[in-house]
Amino acid sequence: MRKLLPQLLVLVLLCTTLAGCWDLRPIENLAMFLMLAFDLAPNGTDLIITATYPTFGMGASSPIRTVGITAGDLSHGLRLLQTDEDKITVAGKVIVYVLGESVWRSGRITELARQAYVRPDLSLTGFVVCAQGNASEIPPLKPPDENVVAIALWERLGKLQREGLVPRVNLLQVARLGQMQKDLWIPLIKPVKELSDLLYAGSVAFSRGQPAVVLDVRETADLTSLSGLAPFNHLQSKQQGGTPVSGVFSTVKTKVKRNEEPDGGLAIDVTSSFGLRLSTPVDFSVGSLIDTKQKASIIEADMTGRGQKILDKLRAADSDPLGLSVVSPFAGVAKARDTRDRYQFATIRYRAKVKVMGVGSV
Amino acid sequence: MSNNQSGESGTLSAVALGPFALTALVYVATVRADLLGHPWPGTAEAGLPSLLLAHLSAYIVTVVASYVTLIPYSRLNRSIYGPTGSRSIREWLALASVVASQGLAIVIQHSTYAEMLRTFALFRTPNWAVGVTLAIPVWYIARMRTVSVLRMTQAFFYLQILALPVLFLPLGEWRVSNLVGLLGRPSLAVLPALPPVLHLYFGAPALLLLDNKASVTVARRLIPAALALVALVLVLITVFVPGVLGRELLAIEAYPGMKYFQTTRIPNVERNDLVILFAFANVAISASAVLGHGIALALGAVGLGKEAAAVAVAILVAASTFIPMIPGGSQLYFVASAIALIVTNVFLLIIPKARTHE
Repeated sequence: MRKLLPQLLVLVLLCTTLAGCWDLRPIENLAMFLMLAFDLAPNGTDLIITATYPTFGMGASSPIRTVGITAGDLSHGLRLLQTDEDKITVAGKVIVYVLGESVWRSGRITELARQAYVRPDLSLTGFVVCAQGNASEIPPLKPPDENVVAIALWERLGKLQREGLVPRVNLLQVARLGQMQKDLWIPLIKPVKELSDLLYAGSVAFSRGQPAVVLDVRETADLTSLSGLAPFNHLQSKQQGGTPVSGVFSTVKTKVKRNEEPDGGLAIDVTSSFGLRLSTPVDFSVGSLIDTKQKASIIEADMTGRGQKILDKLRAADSDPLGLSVVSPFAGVAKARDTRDRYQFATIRYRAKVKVMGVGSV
Repeated sequence: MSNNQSGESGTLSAVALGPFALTALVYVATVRADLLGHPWPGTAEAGLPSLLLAHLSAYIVTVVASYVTLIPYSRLNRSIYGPTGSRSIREWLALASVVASQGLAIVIQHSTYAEMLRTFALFRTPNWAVGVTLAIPVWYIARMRTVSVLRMTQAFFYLQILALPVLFLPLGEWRVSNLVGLLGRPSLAVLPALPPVLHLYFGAPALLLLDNKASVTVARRLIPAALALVALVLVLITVFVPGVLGRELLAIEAYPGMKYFQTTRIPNVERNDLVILFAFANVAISASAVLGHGIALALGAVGLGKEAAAVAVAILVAASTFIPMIPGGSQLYFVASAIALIVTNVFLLIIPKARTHE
């Protein structure tokens, strides 16, 4: 007993010092932010931060609560939110960061993402989306499928990303912008106040951290197909005077070759190989093989045209989300910078190669 | 009272060190919890070639020093832990430097680890509570026999294996292009970042001080395993984290190692960094227990008593958590640690001349 008593005392001391005793907080007392929306204040420097969090407990009148403040920077804003709220604010659960048009057009997205990056508690894996108009209009929305807007947006973006229709962009990728790598293109959403809902509106392509060009829904889908993000992508091409040809792409392999032109310019040859499953009605006649090849060539020509168009549009805006100007790091920093600087004036030649992997309904 | 371990049967040489036990022991002596707090800002300034060059030089010195000091260590153990009537000045100094270097390794580990705990997880827990929670297991283990410490390291090593997959998850964000800005010409700007990781290289020699009967044969098995592990850790340090974060993000974050784990999310876990942080709690405890056990043996050899030494080590662990609060404290103990580690090895090189107690 004489030996046991000190050991028991030590055990009790150990239990009382365990972390939960101090850091435990009842969930009803927490304001767990799920979405942070950012706009620029009218003075052009301060940030308007709007946060939304779910409310718990019997006394909660609404499933979500939205709060907003104006602050000099993100850390200052989160401190102010803590001061204003009765509850203890928790910023580690943010799943979506929404950038208002004033923020992404000002080119301050990297600065903002880095302010979030240096905070130990903010999630780097939260989705980043750009918004048309004010981002502060989004947190109060109550979409019909899910009354917590952050979760609704997160689920919709996840679904679109799985289908390869939009790029997946998180806070880490935005914080890394500006380094010599691929440019980003970030999904764009549009709040519809009348419906209390959100619409997916395409994407914003950036050039070295600055917004370069806005792509519509179809252009964004074309770009995801080129980049290999899309695990499968439907395409329908219209035969001149004939029936539409449609199919599903299953594999994409893109090869990039950079050449020096005789006139000193840069030429970039891009070749994408697509595996295609034609979803046209099956014809077992002798001529069906020829027909299949013809259909594949129609889609090939269509893909080449669309790819060339989107790449030319991005090049003209000096945006390089596919990393066509990114050279091997072993080539050296000077070479990498030089190639990136010449990208805007380069000649891009795009060619799609389509190989029919199968025929039948999909 | 005979406090030295010469009479105990539970010694390293008495235990059959199988591959797993060997790996576990080497792991806790080499990979410490403060490795998560590797200070990359100096690296971002100087570039990866500088970091690789600096680590490579330290690695070569460690390989040479480990083998050159293999027999001296064995003699040192017999000399300072063995039953002796009077010791030469050289032996006393060697003993003191062993205690100081092991003690400083504990201080560095716990001060850095406690600071990371407070920064990323336990915002509201007071320092003393973190310190006491870590100190009690260290006290409990440090007073055990060597063989018990060895078994404990194995048990904790199982937990580490479970957390191992988390280490590779962020590699989905790894980009070669992130290394572009880090491949400049080597410069000396990396040097200030090195002292905190110096003790990584002294993990293998530290193991040899655990036991007065650790034979040269055991040592010959320990050292290559430890050096291989150091090489592996260095690959992780220099390739994984910079490739995920890139130069600019390395430069603005105090703990890029923790940020590395925040770049990915496991469903239902949300914060992988906390999984790793708490998985490293047992590394912090077991590594300090192994070092503390070495100190307990050393102090036991001079008649202070193993129990008293274990209490002293526990107090050291608890006190370490307050060091980041002292202005300029971190720089001071980093420099002190580097000096102590170098002095210890210098003493070991001159020990062959010392008296042995065969």
